[in-house]
Amino acid sequence: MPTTLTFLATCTPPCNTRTWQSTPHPHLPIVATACSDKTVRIYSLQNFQQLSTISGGHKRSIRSCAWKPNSLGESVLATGSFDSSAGIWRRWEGENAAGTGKGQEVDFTAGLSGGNGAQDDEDDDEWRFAVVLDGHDSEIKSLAFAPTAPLLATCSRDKSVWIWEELEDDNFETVAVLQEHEGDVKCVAWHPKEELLASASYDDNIRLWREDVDDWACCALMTGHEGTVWWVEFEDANGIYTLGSQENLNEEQQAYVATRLEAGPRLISCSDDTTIRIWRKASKNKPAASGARMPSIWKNRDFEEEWLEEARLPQVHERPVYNVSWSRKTGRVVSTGSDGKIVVYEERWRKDGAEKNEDVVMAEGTSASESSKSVTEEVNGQDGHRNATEWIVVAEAENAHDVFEVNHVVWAPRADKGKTTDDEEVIISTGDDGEVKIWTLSD
Amino acid sequence: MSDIQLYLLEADKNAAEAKQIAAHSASKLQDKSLKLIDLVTSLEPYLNNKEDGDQRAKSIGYVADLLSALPPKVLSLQERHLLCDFLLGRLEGDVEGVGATARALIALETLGKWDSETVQKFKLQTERLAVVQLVDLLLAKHRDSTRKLQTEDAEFMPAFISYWEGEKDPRNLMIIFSLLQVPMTEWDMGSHAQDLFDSVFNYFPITFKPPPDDPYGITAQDLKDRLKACIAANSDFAPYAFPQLLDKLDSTSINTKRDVLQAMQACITEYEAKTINLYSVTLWDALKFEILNVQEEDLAEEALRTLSLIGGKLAELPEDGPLNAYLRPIIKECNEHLEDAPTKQSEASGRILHALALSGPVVADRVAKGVLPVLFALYHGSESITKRRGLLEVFTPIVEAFVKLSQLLPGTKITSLQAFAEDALNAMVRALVNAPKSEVSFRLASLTGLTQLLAAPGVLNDKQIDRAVDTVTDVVLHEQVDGHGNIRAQAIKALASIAHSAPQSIRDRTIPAFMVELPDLPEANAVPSTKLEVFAQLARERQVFDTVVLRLKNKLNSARRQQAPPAYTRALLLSLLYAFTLGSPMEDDGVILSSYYGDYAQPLIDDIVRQDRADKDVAEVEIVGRICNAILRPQGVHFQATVYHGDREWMARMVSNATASDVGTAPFLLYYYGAIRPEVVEAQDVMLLLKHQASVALHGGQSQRHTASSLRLVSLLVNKFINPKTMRSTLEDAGTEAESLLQNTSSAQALNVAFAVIKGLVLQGKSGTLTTKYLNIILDHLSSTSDNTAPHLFSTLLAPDDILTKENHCPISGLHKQKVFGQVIPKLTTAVRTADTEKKAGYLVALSGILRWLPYSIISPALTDLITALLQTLDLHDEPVIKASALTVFESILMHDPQTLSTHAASLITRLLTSCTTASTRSAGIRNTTEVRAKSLLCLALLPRQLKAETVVPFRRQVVKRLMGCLDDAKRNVRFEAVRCRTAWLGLDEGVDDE
Amino acid sequence: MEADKDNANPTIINPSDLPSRRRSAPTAKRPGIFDALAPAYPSLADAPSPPEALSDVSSDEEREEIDEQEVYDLISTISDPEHPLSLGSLGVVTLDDIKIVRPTSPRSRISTVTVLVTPTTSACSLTTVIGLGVKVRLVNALPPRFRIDVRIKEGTSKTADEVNKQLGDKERVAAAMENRSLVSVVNNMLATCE
Repeated sequence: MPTTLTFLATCTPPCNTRTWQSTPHPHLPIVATACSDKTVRIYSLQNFQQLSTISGGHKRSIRSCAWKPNSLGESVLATGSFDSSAGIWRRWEGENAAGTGKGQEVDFTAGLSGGNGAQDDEDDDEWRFAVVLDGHDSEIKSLAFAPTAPLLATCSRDKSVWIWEELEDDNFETVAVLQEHEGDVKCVAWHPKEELLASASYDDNIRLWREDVDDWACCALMTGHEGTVWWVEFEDANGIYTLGSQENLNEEQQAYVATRLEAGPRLISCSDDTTIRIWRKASKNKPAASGARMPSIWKNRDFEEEWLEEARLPQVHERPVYNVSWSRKTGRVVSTGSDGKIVVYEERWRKDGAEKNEDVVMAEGTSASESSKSVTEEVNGQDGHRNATEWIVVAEAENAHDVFEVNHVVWAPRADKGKTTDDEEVIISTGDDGEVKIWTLSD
Repeated sequence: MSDIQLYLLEADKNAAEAKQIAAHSASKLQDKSLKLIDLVTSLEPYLNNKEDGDQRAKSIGYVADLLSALPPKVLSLQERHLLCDFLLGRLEGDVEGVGATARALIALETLGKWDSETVQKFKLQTERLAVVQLVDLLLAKHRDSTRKLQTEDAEFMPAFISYWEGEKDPRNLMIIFSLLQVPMTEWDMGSHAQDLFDSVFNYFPITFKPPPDDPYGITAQDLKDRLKACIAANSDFAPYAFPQLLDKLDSTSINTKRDVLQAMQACITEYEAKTINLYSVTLWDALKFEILNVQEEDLAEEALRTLSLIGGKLAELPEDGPLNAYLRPIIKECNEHLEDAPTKQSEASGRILHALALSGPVVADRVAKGVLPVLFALYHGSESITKRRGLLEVFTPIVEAFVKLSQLLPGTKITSLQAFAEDALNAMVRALVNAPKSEVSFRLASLTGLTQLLAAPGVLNDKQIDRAVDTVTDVVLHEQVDGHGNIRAQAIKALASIAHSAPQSIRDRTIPAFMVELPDLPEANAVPSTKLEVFAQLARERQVFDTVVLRLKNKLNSARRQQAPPAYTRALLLSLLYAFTLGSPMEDDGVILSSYYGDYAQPLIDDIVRQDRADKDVAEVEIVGRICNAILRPQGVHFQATVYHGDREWMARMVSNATASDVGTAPFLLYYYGAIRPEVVEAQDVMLLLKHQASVALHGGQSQRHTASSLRLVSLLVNKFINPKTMRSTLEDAGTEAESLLQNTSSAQALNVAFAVIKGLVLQGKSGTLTTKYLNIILDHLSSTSDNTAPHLFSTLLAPDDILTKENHCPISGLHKQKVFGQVIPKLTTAVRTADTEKKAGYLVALSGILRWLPYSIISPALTDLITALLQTLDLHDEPVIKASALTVFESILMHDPQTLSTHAASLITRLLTSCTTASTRSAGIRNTTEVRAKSLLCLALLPRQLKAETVVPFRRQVVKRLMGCLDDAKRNVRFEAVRCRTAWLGLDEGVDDE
Repeated sequence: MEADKDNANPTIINPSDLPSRRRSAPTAKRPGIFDALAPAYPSLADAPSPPEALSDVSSDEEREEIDEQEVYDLISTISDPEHPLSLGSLGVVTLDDIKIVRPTSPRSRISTVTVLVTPTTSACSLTTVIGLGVKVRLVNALPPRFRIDVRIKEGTSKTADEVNKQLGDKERVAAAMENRSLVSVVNNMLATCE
């Protein structure tokens, strides 16, 4: 039965200028939207109404926003702006937030998001502008909190990536300024389990950074994209298990699982060159021609990593791809960009032998655009054998935001009345029309 | 009797005697038998005699004579000061005897030079004006004595100059500048020339702004002019003037530059030619930059004028040397620029040469000789079309100069131009005939060149003229491809001006050529109307008018004979109409010749009367009417009377027993009666005709166009021919009395006739009470019906009408619009406020129907009452025309009194945003026509410009977003407005982001 | 100040050689001079909803598509930042270098406008600004269903690739448009657009 992407709702009221990015709260059913009118709007994922507006902190467009993880009791939001500063905002979640565990979100947030009108106004007041992080020379494009440490990464048109450590509340110290990119740094993303940072750049490259001895440095360089890399993101630590049960796999598949387990979470990237690529850490014990790739030979060998382009997602987009998001729950990927399409992909074991992908595609890739062949092309000479898995398009929506470009898509837990199962997900898209739209994926 | 008394006695009778007396008292002073102080005190009573001004004057005269009789060194310095002060005092206090005082002071002067201290005293502002006036007067009354003064006294000049140092007061400067011209022009300045010059040039450039409440009304320009006159006063100034002016020409201030150039022009006109000769080349070297790299267009103009003045000046000299010396470098440089034409420089060269040539035949001749050989050498030497265009663009201005010259001084020598006539002709004719059609600018350049060449008398011989004319004619007739540029339009213009310069050739070549192109019997769908249009336009030139109309008439007749399709005969008639309305027919002291009526109008009329068919071609009938109107209207009573009585018979027949066939003539009658003067027609005829037309209109059944003309005829008759005194009775007799018309029926026809009558009355403005009565009747009618015929008719009341005009001898009250406004608008606005919804629409329609035609000046006082109504008008459904007119009003409000709208900004913006789109409103059943959409956007675009920022900024984002939709409107012109509008709103500064 | 311009003396295209819609319109469409003879005022016999309006609406139906000429008209009047001349007259933008690509799939509604800009000299330091001006003008003046790609014509500028990448980067363009000084430069260029 075909998978379809269905429009569920538009968050109201919409912003009447461009909106850049919407980030779901780590545990509350709310989403923060970065707007070019210098505000961040907080919408409820339960009724899709605006709960509050955060404004007054920035002199120019807010390009990006990120929630601090594991901050129960108080929500902490970081905003990155074209005014080249980053802001930290705080807001108490209220006493009923105390001692909440996962799963109960709905109950305790009912108070927060259920109520509107009067309470909203209070909410407005409750957002406190805690601290400004100055340092970048020009527009901040993206920022991200580390899941495993009190670290915040910011990146900017000034070609640098900054890592800030929060010593105690609101006291941020610069621990690293990484300047090896040769162009704007468009996006930063943290590894889910390690203190490993990925950055994507206008110089068409992706770099990985980690602490070497007591110094942050670039440990991997991924080249290949033929245009600005707009977005990078790691898959969930358990990404591998989304392929289904480990039972009765053939050797090729077992081998692949082994490789994946050794490599750990993969990285996905999308680019102005309209491609979406998946990168995997190369295994150490295969000495690939890595030395050549890393310019800085004086660094200790085991610090350097080699990441290989494992797969390229089916070519559906006709214009720059601005964003990809990797579902923590299903391992599915959703992408969007200038052509206003939203596309959902799925990874699956490659059907073997003669029976070719095409018919499968017919079956599965429902509204896949007729033009593109909707299966991973066979990249990856890089580490020997062909992939045991392949990516297919499972659903697609055109003109997702009317005729406007879509800047961002992201998965989030579903929280509205229509929710059926606990781990049901929605896709949140953010566009140039100033609208934040909610989509559901039905199988 | 004291000396003074004696003096006063003698003063009038015997001047010599009086002088004696004065001399006598002088000697007394000399031998100290009389003290100065006593003398002065003795004068006291007479000097201050309030009653007798004359006496006061004489007493001063006494002092003057006395002083002049006094030998030097008698009076001490102090005494002289004393007197000086005293006299100056008088100057200020007393107008009487200024002359005498002056003499006195001069006398005083001769007794001993005014030392610096006294000079200082002059600098005290209080006395300043007095002194200035005095000296002015001295120079005026005592030219000789003053000149003598300065010739004798070497010290005088410097002192004289130094008097004026540091003067600031514009009043004084005005006088000083003028008085200084006396020494400058009349005295031998000798060594003092430079000082004298500097003393005035220090003030250059004048940067004086008169205070807002300047009592003396002295403008900067006044000062500038006088200063200019000083600078230009004497050729001896040249060595100082030109260098300093040239130096100032490098100034960065546009104004300074402007002053410099004007001063230069003054100098060049005033100084002697031989002086100018010394500086001519230097000036050129400086001036050219203003033209080659234009900063400000008007500076370039001034520079060009200056160059031309120099040329003219040098041409005055008997010998050639100076002029050649001046022209040589110029021609050389221009020729160099020709090398890489077209460039800014080559274009500028064209202007320079044009300006020079204008300065006189001699110069023009030299320029032509100097440039044309090079120009055409280059022309033939190059294949590049662009280059050739560039060269023509230099050639044409030169010819143009010749044309202008020969208009100013006929018989200007043109041989030097003639020498290249053939070359030029070939070049340009080839360009027009052979160059690819896409080379628009090149062919245009040739076309203009050709036109100029033809306009220069005697340059081309007849053969050449014919060739040129043929070429242009051919372009006009056969270039159908309009894909490339508007060359055809230009060609038509050219043809028109050629018709002026070479009428004969137009008659012999062009007109026949056209006749060949115009068939007698074309296919119905192939009427050569565009060719006819062009042909008719030739009639704008008087010299060919008669030929054109005659040919048209013949065409028409043969077309009629062969039953050509009506479309064609109509087109031919229109051509005739065009010729008679917009062309230049022969006139007899300002009035078109009456003979045209017999030759052209009459036959056409007979034709109409003759064809006894009901299906007369309305258009044709109307056109004939208009032709006849054009010729008949200006004719005198006598001629009109004869014509009228000629036609009376058939018209009477028609009126009496209206057969369908006669009814068809209404469109003709409308224009016919439009032309006739009121005194020509008999009241009875009018009444009958009125009755007839009214009944036609009332019974309907006619085509809309017929009815329309009948109704307009009704208005005309009422307005022009019915005597106000008998108005009501006549209307009753004719069955057109509005009250009774509307009493029992409110049929559309009745309403139409009523409104027609009222319109006539309103414009006439003579039957006030009746008009008011009628206006009220139709207003009441609105309350009685919710049918929308009446409301819409309101817009006809004040609608302009090409029949009811002064030219048609109609009485048009200058105040009729104000009157209607006063009588109708208040009632309507109140009605709008009170009426229930379905009536309201009617009132709104009527309201904007009136407002539509009112000049803003009338509306503006009542704005506050109107705005709400107008806003509601925008909500009307399916009233595009009404909405449009409401929007027009808003547009003018936004232009003139935007602030009155600031309180309504919100509601206005919302309405405009709905009326500027098709998308959202279609569903709501509102239909926004292209016009409404465009106008709405126009108004919307005015808001950010006209209203205060704080009023509009809050709406910025909303508007900018909503307008995105209009950017995709189906219609191009709407999109155009949308873009302008959106740009205006995007331009609004939300005042953030400071760095 | 002439001296420090990159190209102090550019060649100027004669206005009458510039492409324009008026010119390319066939004669037939334009009203003849005779039409001017009879002014059309609302006459007493007009029907309540006048014919002009009706005809207007019906003519509303047929759509005048946005074409290359219209795009050209939008940008050719932009003035060059260093000469008091229009980009059209300097040949910086030409009709031939404007291409509109209609939607690729029946379901898509996105059209693409590509404008190739030809700098007055290969070294023109203001190329980026000019490109930005063109981009901004079109972003503001064309409906959002158009994607606007402004590029430097191949081989006309040393810095072409760099400039193209910048103009293609929506984030950079957006940021540029929040920068006072840049905005004022661009506004001055666009001031001459009608």
